[in-house]
Amino acid sequence: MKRLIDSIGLTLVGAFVGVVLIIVVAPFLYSLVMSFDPRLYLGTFPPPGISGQWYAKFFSDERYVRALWTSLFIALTSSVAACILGTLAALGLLRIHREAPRAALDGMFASPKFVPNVVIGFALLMAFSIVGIGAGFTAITCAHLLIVLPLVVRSVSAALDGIKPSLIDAAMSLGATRAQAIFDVVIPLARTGIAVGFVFAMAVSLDEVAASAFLTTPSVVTLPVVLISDMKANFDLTIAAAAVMMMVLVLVVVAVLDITVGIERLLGRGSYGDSSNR
Amino acid sequence: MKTWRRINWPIMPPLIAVACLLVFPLMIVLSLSTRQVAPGQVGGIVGGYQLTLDNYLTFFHPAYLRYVTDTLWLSLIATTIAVLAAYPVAYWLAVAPSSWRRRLTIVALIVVLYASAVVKVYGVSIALGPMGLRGSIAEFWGVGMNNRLVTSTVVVVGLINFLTPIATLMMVAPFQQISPSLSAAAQSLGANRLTAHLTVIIPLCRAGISQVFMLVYAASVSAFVIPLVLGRGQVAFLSNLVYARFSEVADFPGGAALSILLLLITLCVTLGLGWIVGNPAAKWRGYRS
Amino acid sequence: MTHCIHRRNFLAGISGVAAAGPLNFALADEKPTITLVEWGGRTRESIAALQKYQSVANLRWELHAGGAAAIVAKIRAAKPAVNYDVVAAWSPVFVTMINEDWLETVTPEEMPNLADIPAGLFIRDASGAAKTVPREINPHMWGYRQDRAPFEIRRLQDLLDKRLKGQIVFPGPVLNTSTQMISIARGLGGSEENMKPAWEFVKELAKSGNIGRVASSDAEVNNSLTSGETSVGFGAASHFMRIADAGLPVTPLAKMPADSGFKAAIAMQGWCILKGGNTKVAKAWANAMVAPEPNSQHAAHNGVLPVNAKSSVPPRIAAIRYSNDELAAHTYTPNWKVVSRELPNWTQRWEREIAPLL
Repeated sequence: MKRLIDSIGLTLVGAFVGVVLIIVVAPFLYSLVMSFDPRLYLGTFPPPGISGQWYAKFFSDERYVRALWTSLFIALTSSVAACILGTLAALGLLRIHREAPRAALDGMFASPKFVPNVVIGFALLMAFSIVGIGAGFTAITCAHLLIVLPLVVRSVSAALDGIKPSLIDAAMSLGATRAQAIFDVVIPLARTGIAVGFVFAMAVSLDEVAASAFLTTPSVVTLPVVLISDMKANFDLTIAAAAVMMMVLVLVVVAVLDITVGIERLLGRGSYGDSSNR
Repeated sequence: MKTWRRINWPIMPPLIAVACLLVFPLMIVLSLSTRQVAPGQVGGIVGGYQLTLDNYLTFFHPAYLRYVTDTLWLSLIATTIAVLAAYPVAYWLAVAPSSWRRRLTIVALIVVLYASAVVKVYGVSIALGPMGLRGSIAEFWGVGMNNRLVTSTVVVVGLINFLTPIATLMMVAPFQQISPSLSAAAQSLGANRLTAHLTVIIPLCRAGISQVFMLVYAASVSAFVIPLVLGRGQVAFLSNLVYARFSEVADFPGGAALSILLLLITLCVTLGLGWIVGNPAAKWRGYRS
Repeated sequence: MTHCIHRRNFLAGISGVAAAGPLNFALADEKPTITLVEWGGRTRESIAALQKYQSVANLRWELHAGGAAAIVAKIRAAKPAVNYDVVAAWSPVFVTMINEDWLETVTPEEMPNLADIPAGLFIRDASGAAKTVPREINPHMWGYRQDRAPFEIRRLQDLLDKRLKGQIVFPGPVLNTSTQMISIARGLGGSEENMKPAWEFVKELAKSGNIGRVASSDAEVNNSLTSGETSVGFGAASHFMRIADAGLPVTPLAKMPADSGFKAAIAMQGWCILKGGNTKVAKAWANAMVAPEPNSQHAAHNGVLPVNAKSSVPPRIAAIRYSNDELAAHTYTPNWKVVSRELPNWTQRWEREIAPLL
């Protein structure tokens, strides 16, 4: 009987997950196929042939390539900064016992998520102009940092939540200082949260356009902004080609990570340690 | 020395960063929201600061309630489905032994995450368009093809597409802190796998899951491209209204007021939801140093 | 051996420096650089191609990424510094910038080619001084795909026909700054000041279920029509040209009889020159850009009408080309000051009255 309930339960869950996975994967496949569309307008699916025109367009235009580097640089900077600050924030939140101040600070760190990116871009533009910095690299990086910080804080918090505080006590009872206990025990255990937070931060930053549009200058432009500018009036599948290229880039990075460090190591195994068989 | 240790050092740097980068600009937005709109002029009355709440009051018109409901309710549905679907996958990723399937899933999730939101949305738009499955959806609901219900469904599907990878990857970490032997122990005591899972594992991760739920919900509420393209103008989120004011019409005070309202509403709702989902687990948190 | 390598390196170094010498001279262009804010995509390509007609300046580009208001915010934020010299925009944004007194006055004395542009196309400030440099005329009108629309559309009331269920892509209030609504008002006897007939008609249209999509960008209108999602739309003539270029049979309703209710809005696009920048060079540049030859080329590339009276008109846009009589009969120029003032109200009204009916 119990086996039957288990089987039914698993089948139902499997079916449900299957449907959602189709929802997740199908549009992505669609964009992959459309990036090879030879037509110059959005026609019916599937495209009548294969053409590398959008890729050629992407690589031949030095604006796109320059914007790609700019985006990567800004994404790396803001993501690394967000990871550091986010981990600190999560650790700091852990130390607060009373519910009210913790919820308040929690809300504060989460609040950028509730402010539309347009507003963040606009507000930072005004704020930076008052302070005298103006638009550009610093401004965009700060905007992205603000936008991705909630993601990292959440991700690390969720990871830290399951770590028994007695582990810190155990480490300290063996002679470590608090700081050492945190660095050598807690953070490695929260590694998944930090890694996932970083992955998200990069993804969000590379795709961000609403805030960045306010903060670009003629010399500093991010890739999504350039693509959207070209797309505004015309139909342009260069964005699909850029998206596919971005994914190839990520795939390469992930493959390299897998060969060197082991992607499974990244998404470790929590308090029971690594039992991967590499 | 003791007071030195009592100060919450870790939280200082991020707190200062958020204060400078968010609070200060938000003050500007707040002050802007109280200015009179002079149509055709940028940002309000030039010279002469007139405090007014008009920009806020315009949004208390009943029609705007629908935008609020659309934003909050559709996001709730999408978030629930996304988190429910992400749960088994995340759990599997957390406890399964290393295998090519596990690696492939992780890689696939990360890659899908990096696909441009705009392109994915067009994918959904075509797949669920009049040339695609839109007719079937309309039949399912028993209404015409242009009915709001059909459009809302398409928006929800688009949101699910966007939210599920986020939810999946985020939920792996909370599951990793649970010892797998707990489930085995429960089963050895006579529970089937399902009961063991429901009664033992879920309560332990409730806090972590609720955190993920809140974040995914927030991401959904602030979604912009998805309701813009898939909503076809019938279904719009509050973020779309804000964008129109900031980027198209130059009604900065109005946009500022709406953003403040949006911030307040969604902060309340999300924290409320988080409290409902997660608070009972506070008892399990135990001692924190 | 070492000796040889050293000498080789030395010679390589010398030749490198020598080569860089004249190169440096060549790079030290005497041409000043002006910063241009322009639309992306095809427009950008077109303007870039026109640079061979001028030798007064090098260009630094910034492209519009958001709506028109975004650049206004950036200009405001940068004050008192001025980061842009020439800004491409269109009528309502120009009015905003004129109200803020950000624009230089342009005169035929300083810019001779302006004399060939009809006086009515310039947007002026309160004292009558011209503040903008027109470069193209892009009428906004209704159009439909012959192969997909169920019948030939002749009158405005046809849009309410049951056969068009879900077939219309209607631009939202911010797109085209609502010229679609103004055109309907004008077609029904109203105007920008009296939009009542338009609101009533659009309410009917919304209730009828004929609106398949409310578009928020030109690309959406294009995509909706080309993909077959809808078959009837409103937009700039250049978009219909582009759809036609793609091989799809499209009929722009440019010259419909007066009682049909279809009126085309004449929208002028062009540049304005910001005060405080490199104004002298900017004016010289703009002047060069609206000379007959570059203006024709630009018009041909983009499917729009040139402004310079001496420019040639490419045959493929003959369908939307208006003689003076036709201009009076089929088109109108909106009062952009009124439009600029009313647009936020219209946006709100749409959100409150029309959107709930969809």
